[in-house]
Amino acid sequence: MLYKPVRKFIYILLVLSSCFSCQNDGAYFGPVYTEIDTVGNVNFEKSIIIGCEGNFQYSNASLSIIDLDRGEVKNNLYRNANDRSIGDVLQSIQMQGDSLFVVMNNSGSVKILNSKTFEEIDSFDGFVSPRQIQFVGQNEFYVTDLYSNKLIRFNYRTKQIVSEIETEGWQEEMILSDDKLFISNIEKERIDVLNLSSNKIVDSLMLSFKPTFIRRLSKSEFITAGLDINEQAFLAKISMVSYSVDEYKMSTSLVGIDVYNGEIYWCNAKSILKVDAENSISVKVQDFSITTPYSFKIHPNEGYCVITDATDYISNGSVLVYRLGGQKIGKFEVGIIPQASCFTF
Amino acid sequence: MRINFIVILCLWFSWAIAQTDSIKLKAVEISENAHQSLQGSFALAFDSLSQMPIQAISLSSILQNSSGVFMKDYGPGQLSTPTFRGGDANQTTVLYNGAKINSPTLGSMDFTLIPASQFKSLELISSASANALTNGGIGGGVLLKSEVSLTDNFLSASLGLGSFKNQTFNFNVNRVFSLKKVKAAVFFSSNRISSQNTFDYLDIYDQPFKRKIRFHNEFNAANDQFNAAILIKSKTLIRINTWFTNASRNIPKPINLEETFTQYQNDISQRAQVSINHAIDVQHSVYFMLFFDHTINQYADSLAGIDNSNTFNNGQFQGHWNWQLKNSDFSLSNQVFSSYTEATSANFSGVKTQLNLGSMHKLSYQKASWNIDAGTRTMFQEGQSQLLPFLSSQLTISKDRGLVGIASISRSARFPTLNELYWQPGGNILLNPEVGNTIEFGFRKLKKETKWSAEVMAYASVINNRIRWLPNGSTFSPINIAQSRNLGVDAKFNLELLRQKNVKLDFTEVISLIDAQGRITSEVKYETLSFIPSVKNASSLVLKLKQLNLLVTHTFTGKRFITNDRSAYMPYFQLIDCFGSFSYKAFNLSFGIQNLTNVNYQNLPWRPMPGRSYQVQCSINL
Repeated sequence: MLYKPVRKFIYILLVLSSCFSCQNDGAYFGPVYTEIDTVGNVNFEKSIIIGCEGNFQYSNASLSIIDLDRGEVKNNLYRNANDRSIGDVLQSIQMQGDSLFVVMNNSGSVKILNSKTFEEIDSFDGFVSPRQIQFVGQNEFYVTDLYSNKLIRFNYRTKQIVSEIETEGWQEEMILSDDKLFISNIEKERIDVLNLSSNKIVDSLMLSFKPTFIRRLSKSEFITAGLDINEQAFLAKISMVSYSVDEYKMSTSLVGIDVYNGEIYWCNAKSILKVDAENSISVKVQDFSITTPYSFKIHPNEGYCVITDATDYISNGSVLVYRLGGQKIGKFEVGIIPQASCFTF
Repeated sequence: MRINFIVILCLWFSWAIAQTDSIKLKAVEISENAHQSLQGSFALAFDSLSQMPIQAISLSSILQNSSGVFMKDYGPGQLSTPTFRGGDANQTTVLYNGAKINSPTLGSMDFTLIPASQFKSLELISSASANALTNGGIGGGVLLKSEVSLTDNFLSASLGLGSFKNQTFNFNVNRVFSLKKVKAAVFFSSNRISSQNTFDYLDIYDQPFKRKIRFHNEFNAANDQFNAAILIKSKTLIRINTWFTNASRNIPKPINLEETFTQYQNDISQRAQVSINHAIDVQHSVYFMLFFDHTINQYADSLAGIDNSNTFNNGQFQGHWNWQLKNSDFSLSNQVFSSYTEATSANFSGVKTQLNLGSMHKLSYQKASWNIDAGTRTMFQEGQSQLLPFLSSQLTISKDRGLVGIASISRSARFPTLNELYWQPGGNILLNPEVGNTIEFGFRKLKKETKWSAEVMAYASVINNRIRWLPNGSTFSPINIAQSRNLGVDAKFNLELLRQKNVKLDFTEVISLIDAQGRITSEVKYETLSFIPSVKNASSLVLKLKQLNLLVTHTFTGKRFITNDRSAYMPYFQLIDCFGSFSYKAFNLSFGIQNLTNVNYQNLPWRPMPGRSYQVQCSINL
């Protein structure tokens, strides 16, 4: 016969235990992501694919597509097509033929998707912290990598590393000109010049700011923009022939830059400006009102302009689409931290 | 070599204590009120931590199992930081005998590295009390008090073994001396934890779900504390405390990422403290404290090519003066405070320094049936200043029933840390301090002649200029975001189920309810703050039957939203842990079963937690 208090204790323990019986191994207990409403089919002829970073280490990156003709958005394209998460921190996307190349930063991978169905065709793992890719030659791309101190040339047909170039600092965006690759080096505040023939860094063009964005202005010139250590914004025009650098201080904040019809467009927190840097003229072409403007892109021929809104970085974001200097096409709710974008037309 | 030294030291203390009979001294006449919480604000005390059934338990486990605090826990042996009343980890101040030990670079403190068994008591306090004691406790604070006793000789040693190749060793000894009118005591404590943490878990990232083993999760920690107290003529109390921590751990990746075994962390802290508490006369007393903290946090990731040793040296000074007005119920307390830090890191451009200066002035009125504390703290840092008033009151509503009303209101602030200011890339030297305003009110029901006691506190707080690391172009940068607001209730209920000779059966319930919301700019609507469960509940049942002690705890952690718009969340989970101990003379045998019902769960996304695990521990108490 058990002592009364022991019995009482055991009764309570049994009641507790019976309430919380052992869990079935099939039950899911991880992060739960509710679907954002998505609408109908997509007209791939005139669409914008949006890459959402998601949160660091949560694997909630996603892909969305905005159908400009119908004014509709479809979200979670990768998960719907492949029944799994695309990975951790989507950094950049690029179209090449009928394939979509997706750079997953914290997953250390580059994925190739069918650009119509979003089914995964291939995935290349083993990168440390890939950022951007630049296609060169046949079936190859260069990939910048934040922590590896290497610029990697990769053949996506043979799935082999073609070459690894020792670098220093944090390399980010690239632009190709004949046999030269210009690479922004954020940490070292310079543009590295790679000679494709010798596969060596042959020059470095020093800047007084951290070159975050890099865009082609003309056949012989490109522009780059970024902030210095005191958060001062700069724009620089760089000749791809003479390597001359012209820097301009900008008295505005910086979300992104792009080029349309040979003109430079600068996006700050509230508006898009057309910039004539040599003459220090900035003309406002578009006002907008969003919480946290995060990235900016213009269609090179059609003048559609995309501004992404990261809201509070831990909620679903949105994408604003305008005709440059004209009407608003729409505002579309997408995944968390929409950042990358590419046009299908 | 190091282990041998510890063992020899333990043996010496064992021999020394065996030579002396216990000396019972009179209670200390001077009051140590420099680090006491306000009577009119919320407090949750855990006394006699060293008497916990399993002694190697960390502070993180205690708060998770016995309070409404949600611990952001990355897994066994991994980083664990508190979320209290909607505050961030760096908004919960941790005080070690009155000295702030939050990292001046990170702002937070890793609770995995604090072994509860080395402390006499732990007290969880709300922001009003935290503000009366130090700066930065917008959410609240945790007070750690050292074990040294001026009244009792004791010695205890324990060895534990557990699942996941977990081994623990704990040794505490207290020795009291007396020489004419000088009474002294020394306390030495050594704690060792070594765990492989190779537990199995259910991988739910990809279908089909598979059971896997968590590798690269090893944790080793050594904590040594030496405390001394010297009481001179019952008027002057000198304390000397040292605390050395050396912990190393491998850091596994979350299960959603490719498994690599490249991340490693080593934390070394050497802390020393000297304080003097002197009762000048019946009316006046003074207290001075010097504290030094040398901490190295080394983080390495061989794949990413990172090997960074973040080091800081922090010195603190506190001076207190208490004045009990003659023939009056009023008393005045004044504190001056300074803290100087210099820190180095591969991510700083050179050595970074920070000087904090502050003062606190408090007027108290104390009657038998009510009391009031009113005061203000003033803080200065790098050309910025904050005036932080507080008011706290306690009123006896019914003396017979033991019913007491309590209320407080306070403003507190946290200044930017060195990382927030100077980390490259991203550091922002233009940051403003975070400022929180909190009001709380409720009641305490003392036991008196009933079998139950309770404390219920409702609170509301608004925090402005919250600092968040947010993407800024291609990097992360801390910025002041607009605001967050928290509404909640903290409650504790205790019921004596049985009280007989040699038998005690007690039930305790601690519950925390909160609605925490925030917004990034004043133009947008408030949304739910992430990783703050709206319900956190911890209940426990304790049976003491002669030499047998049994403890069962049940915790419920509610749904935590991952996103502010509630589009993603972590499901709720509940756990049952069981502990028991049996004593025979000086010997004690303890056991623990954690996660009794073998629940699969994740505290944070993609960080698996272990299923059922076991621990046994033998100890000797002299």
